[in-house]
Amino acid sequence: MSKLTLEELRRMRDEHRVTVELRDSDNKTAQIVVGMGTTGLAKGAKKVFNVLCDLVAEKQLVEVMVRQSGAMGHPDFEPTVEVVVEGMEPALYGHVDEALATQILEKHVLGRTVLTDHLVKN
Amino acid sequence: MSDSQNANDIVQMTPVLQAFIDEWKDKQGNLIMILHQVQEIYGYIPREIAIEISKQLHVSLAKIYGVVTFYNFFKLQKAGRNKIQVCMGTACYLRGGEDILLEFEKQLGVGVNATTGDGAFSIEAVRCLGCCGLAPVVVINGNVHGRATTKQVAGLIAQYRKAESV
Amino acid sequence: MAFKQYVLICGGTACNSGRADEIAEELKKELVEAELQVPGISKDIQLIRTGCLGFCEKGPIVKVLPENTFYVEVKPEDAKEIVNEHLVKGRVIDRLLYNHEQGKSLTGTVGIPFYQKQVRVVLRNCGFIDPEQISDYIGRDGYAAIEKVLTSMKPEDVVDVITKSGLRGRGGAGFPTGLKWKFAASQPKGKKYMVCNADEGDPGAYMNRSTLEGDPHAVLEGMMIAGYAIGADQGYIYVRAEYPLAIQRLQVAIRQARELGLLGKDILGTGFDFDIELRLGAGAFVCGEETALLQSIEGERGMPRPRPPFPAVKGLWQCPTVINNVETLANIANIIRNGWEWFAGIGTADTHGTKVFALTGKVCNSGLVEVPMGTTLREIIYDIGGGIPDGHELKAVQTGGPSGGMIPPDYLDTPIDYGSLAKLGSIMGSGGMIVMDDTDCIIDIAKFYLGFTVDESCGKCMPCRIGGRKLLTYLNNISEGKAKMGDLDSMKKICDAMNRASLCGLGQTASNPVASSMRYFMDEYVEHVKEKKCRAHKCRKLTSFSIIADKCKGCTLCAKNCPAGAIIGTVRQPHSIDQDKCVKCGVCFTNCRFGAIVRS
Repeated sequence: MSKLTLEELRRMRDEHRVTVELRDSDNKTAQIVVGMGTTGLAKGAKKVFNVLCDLVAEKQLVEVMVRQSGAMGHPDFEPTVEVVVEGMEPALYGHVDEALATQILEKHVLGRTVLTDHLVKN
Repeated sequence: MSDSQNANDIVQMTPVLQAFIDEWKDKQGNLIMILHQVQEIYGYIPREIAIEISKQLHVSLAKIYGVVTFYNFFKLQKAGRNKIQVCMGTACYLRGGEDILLEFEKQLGVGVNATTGDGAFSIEAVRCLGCCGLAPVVVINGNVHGRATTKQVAGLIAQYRKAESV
Repeated sequence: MAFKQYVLICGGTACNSGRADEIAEELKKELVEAELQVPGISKDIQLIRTGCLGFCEKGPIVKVLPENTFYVEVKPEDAKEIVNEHLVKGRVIDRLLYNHEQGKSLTGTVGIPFYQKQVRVVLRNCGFIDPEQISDYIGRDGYAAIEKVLTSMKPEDVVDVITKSGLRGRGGAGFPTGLKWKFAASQPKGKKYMVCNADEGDPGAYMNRSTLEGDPHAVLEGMMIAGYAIGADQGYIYVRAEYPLAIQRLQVAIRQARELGLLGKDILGTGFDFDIELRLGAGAFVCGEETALLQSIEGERGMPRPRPPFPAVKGLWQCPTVINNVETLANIANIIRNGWEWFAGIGTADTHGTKVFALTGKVCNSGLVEVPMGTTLREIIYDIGGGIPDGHELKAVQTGGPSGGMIPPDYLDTPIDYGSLAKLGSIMGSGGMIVMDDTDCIIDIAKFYLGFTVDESCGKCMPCRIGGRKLLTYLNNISEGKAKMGDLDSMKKICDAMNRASLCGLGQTASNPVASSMRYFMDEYVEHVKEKKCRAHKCRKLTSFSIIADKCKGCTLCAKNCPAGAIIGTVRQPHSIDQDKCVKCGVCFTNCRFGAIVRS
């Protein structure tokens, strides 16, 4: 490690700001919750969780929280993913795979458009 | 310069201490830092070492003893192999610290600031350790035992005695 | 490198003794085991040993982020479940959540009364960052304040901002920080020193310890800014030897700052030189007093110097020196970044900003709290602290440590600031707040504090050396039933004399516990003197023990343990205590399993 110049300190701060803000909980405006029911886990819920985490980190979306929960009560639709974006109605998606997860993040969370075709229907 | 110290031998300088003194010799405000290192190595401030420091730092022995006797931290006697420190901070006092100290004294048969005959334990009442959320607190050999009770005292002594015989 | 989840384990000295180290080890082990279920999981989870979260009563605390799950009273054995249920399967472990009448708290500290009224500004990083990673601090706007200062502010601008903010010394005296800096800055150019007083000696206070352990860089940055403002290029942190973890964290922080050139020569290429070294205390309370501290750094016995000259004019090695408390310094970077108006907008007109308190003693939720000035004692003790446990009544709250006073319940609605506490005969002090209930004896507490200050008195000046000892003798007599009413008047005179004539703050304030307790609890003093009675049954010599025959099962446990052989009775027959032989040690009372022994 060599002695920092002003520029380097600023760059270091910007870089690490993202790191700590991703970790923070107080700054979130959107939550993506991936259900980890037994069926879901068997059908790849963990992969869905992983791809969402990776995308959020890659795109530095510090206001988006991705977390896991237990089963969400819709075993026939697992893997299920709940999306809560500030200012929008909560939405529950079913049969989510990695491709759909990417769509959900880009279209629903960032684009604020619900993918109605993929919602869990009762 | 020998590395080993036996209670019956004259205490000698260690290379570690000499290196520390060499590093700190020319720094301002070095006396207490050096005395801390002495205490860390020997467990107390041996007279022979105080004399050596006096020579190397060109500070009178009287001054060194003036400092050693002023500060609670520095000891002139060797401590027991197991150092029991009972916190006497306000929170610990309120939650029964004094009773715990008395119980240790009773169980070990020595008063505070003394060492048991076999050199195994010494008891000290110490200043607030800052663990008030866990009052009352006892520290043995640096291990913090929070929410201590008088009933635990005998068990703690046994635990450390056992650890020695292992 | 991004992680998917973060597990933060509280790393304050108290949580460490609650086996927080073991919890961290077990979590690491379990994550490795869990690789079989979820390959790569141990790389996906970041384990962070963080600083004090303040809720010491319920520690060890483990937080999971970003979902903000707050687990309390965690044991190493819980690690397996935390990994396999929560981290792998996303199932929150209910039994580890904080349980309150209103229901369990699912998200962070939202449902936890302890945190509701707190405003954690000084403690903003404690419990969130890894104090041994400078990058964490930098990511939270760390060293942005010194950057601002070095690139866009003149030293007098810095002094101006701090003065306008109204920041007052958080070590106890409450002296305006800006004014202190101004005095030193206005001394002629030359060698000057910046000293951090980390000799937190008040028993019952650990606010500074938590900051030093949990956010050491905040203190370093504060010192750098102070150094720039006054024209000093060398700083010392005088830290008490009883805080080994704080010492270690500071050493790591200083090393990391030096490596990046944030300490040393030509910082950030601006031409500003500043370095910091540690100097250890050695167990002398008086060395928390400014001038005694300077003597100690200089390698002398820690005896205060007469003032004037004040340290800002002639301090360390006779050079202009500013000494500031840890908490004062931890406020500086925040004020520079957020502006003086932000700071002045918190608190009361008399005192701006927040204060960290160590709430301990007879209170349900013991721990570290940070509140805006102006919060009332009632809010702290009851809303945050959860009130008095075991059905007891509040008797008094003691603030300011051995220099402070006891405040009775009548004044619970006093908003806390320097002025209001002084009016009540106490002081803000460094932040120790001890709660006492009806089982505590006022004379006993006063005796405790006097015993402490008499022991710690350096002996240089007569009012403290002799006055303190005399007061202690009087208090001992009162607690043993040997005092006369006239003694109380003598005590008042001594308190006054010590207050006016002692050389330093230790002597000047040592009589406060006595003076304030006599002001509000005179009836208890009179009771001890005239009736030889201690209503809290704390003063052993004024308590007598007796056995209730109906409750006594004759188990002989008391008789066996009595050191004076004062208990008579045969097996399975009610025992009795011979009052002439009884030395009132109370062992029988503590040991009786049937509640058959009572005190009166």
